[in-house]
Order: sequence, then structure tokens, then C-alpha cells
Amino acid sequence: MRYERGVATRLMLVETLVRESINKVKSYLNRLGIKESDAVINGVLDNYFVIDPVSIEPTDIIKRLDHMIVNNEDKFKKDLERFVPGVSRHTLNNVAVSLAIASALFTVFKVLRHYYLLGKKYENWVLLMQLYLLLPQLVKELIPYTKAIDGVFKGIPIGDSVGPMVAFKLAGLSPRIDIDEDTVYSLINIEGRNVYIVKAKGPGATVGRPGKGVSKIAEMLSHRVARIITIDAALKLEGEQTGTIAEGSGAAIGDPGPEKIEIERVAVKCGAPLDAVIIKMGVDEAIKPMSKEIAESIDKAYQRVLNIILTRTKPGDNVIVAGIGNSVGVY
Amino acid sequence: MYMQIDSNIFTIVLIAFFVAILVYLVRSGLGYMMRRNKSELQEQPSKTITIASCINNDYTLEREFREGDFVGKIDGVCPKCNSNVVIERIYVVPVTIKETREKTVKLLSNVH
Repeated sequence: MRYERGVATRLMLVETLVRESINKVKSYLNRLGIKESDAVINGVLDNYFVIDPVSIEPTDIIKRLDHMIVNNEDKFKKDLERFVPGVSRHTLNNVAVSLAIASALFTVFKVLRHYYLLGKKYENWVLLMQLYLLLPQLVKELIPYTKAIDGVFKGIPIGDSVGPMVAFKLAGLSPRIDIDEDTVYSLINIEGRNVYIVKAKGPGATVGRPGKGVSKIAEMLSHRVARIITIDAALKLEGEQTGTIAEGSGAAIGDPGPEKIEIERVAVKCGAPLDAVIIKMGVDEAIKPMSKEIAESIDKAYQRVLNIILTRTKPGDNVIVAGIGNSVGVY
Repeated sequence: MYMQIDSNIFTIVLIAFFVAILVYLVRSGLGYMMRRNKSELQEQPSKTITIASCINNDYTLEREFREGDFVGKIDGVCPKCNSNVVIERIYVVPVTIKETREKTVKLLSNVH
């Protein structure tokens, strides 16, 4: 009885968060002049799921997964273009990300409600007790999602934008050349090295397709690449300080697989070492508007990348630097 | 059929003590629940700062974020060397209660 009431109270709190996020998206759509905002939101909340490809036959699983993700994204964006006509690509990306956040919150709420009703229906007190113990943490983790929507609308960089921010610091205002959908690169020269900087196309909210961007650049250079450096936000462990920079090997990118494997395959094909520079932060800090602490760590990460380029490559080398993350509010 | 309560001073003190403990427990329990629910959804006041600096690094400007700002946006010209001033950072800082109060007082004085 006690568990049931406790879970019901917390579920109401989660429902409030879902409603709040939906209302925020609705008011944003109304501000853009979309009259049928309810139809747009209802059309998105329950749709656009991706079914995992068959894994007992692993041949080409990444290709199949990539195909499904790309198809789903394309379908989502094309439908949005139909619902929200005449807005810029950046605004469309902002709408897409805020709808995705609202949809994620709604899905979590539905799953929690499912287990709550299941526990009640079969009088499964163990299930209800587990929910009762789990929900306080879940509620605390879900609150930042609602707050993140405001940042995305206004175009304020979020914690996850550190990768593109370091890329911006390297590339400055040099021209952005389209390489894949929502993905750009810039070419700069650092003490004789040709540095190709890949990032998502800003200032709209998108993560782009950096893996494919890196792959295309490597192909363009006939796989003569001396080093590939990836920069991304990474989750810190409790007790670690926000904004700590760490360096390692491998592809620092947190996608479901297709983008990461693309970078790894390119590195192997080029015989190029793969450096990973990560900026540590909490899960809430990664989706909320960027804090001063994280913003200050960008300079340190930039210096680290610069140091890698200058000490581990020679003049005349081709280097690819990928700033991984959401480019909301970053050119 | 009733319980007989002695009217000696010790029993009365004991009853008063238990009633006080009961009231204290109920009040603190309710207070804790209200505080918990309030703090979970309460938003900490914050302000967004935009830092722009000259491409020649001889001038830096710090101001409040305006809608349309983004990192890399050209935000005017440098008063010292006439080069472009570019937005370099946008971040959020928490606002202390004192700051919020000062802002409210300022706003109210402007209204009057």
C-alpha cells in the first residue's frame, strides 16, 4: 500500500514533467506560427521508433542499423518539413531536437506507468517496491531534460556542445564546407600541418554524421592521414570534477555504433593513430545549457588538441580533428 | 469498560510528552514532504552570459545573452582596432538571491 502510493505520487511528478515539456514545445511551435501544433506533437510522440536489426546473423549488422537510423531520421525531418514549412534548417533542427526530448520523456513515463499498473494488477509488491526505490533517482535525472528544451529553443550551447566548441576554437571563422548531411568541415593550417576539422553544422541543434564526414575526408585524401583526433563530452563518475580533460585512444563518440565504427575503420585503413580527448561532465550537465565550469574547460581541451597535433605529427601531414556533439548555438 | 488514568503528575507529564512528540513527528514529516516536492521541480535562477572578443584579442565584451546569439557570430566591430568582434562563449551562471533582489529593486525603482 505504502509503495503503491509512493510510486503514484512520483509518477504524477514525471507526468508533470512530460506535460511541461510538451507545453514548452507547443508554445515554441505557436511562436513559429504553426497553428496545428497539437497534431505535430501527437504525431511525433508515439511514432519514429527504430527496431534493432537481427543480431543472430551479424553480417552487415552495422550497415543495416545505419540504414534504419538514417531512414528514420530522414522520414522524421521530411515529415517535420511538411508540418513546419518555410523555416530555416537550423530552426527545423531545433524543433526536431525539442520534439525528440519531449518524446523521450513521454516514453520513459509510459514504461514507468506500465510497470506500476502491472504491479498493481498482479499485486506484485516486489515490482512496486523496486519502482518506489528507483523513482527518486529517475525523477532527478529526468528534470534536466525539461530544462534542456529552453536552451535548445534559445540556441544556447549545451554541455554536449563542447566537442563542436573546441572544433570552432580551432577552425575559427574559416569557411564551412558541407561534407554530409548536417556535417561540415574546415581546412586550416597549423605550423605546416593540414588540419581538417569536422563538426555538425551549426548553429542549429544537430549532431550531424561525423563518422561519415571523417570517412569522406579520408577518401578525399586517398587515405593519407597521419592522425585522427576526436573530442567529445564524456560522463564523469560521481566524485570526479566537471570539466576535467582526459586523453586516451579510440573514437570518442557516443552513437549507437555506425558513426563510431566508420571512424575506427578509417583509422585502420589509413594506419592512423586514433586519439580521444574527452571533457568530463554529469549526465544532467551534458543536456542542460553549458555551465561556466564546462565553458572554461574548452581552452584546456583546445590546448591539449593543439599539443597532440604539434608533437605527434610532422609538417606536411594531414590530420583530421572531429568535434563530436550537438552543435546548438555553435557555428 | 474504560481505562483508568491516574491523575498523578507523572502520568500527566508522560501524556503531554507523547502528544508533543506526535505533533513534532507529524509536522516534520509534512514539512519534509513539502520541501522535497518543492525543491525537485524548483528551478534555480540563472542568467546566460555571452562573451565576445576581438579577433586580434585586444578587446573582450561580456553581456547578457540575446536571442539569436551563437558562438561564431560576428557581434560588431572592435572599438580599438575596428576588426570583427566574434562571440566566443555562451554559458549559464547561477544567480544568487542577493543579485535577484537587487535586480527586482532596480526594476521597481524604474517603474516608480
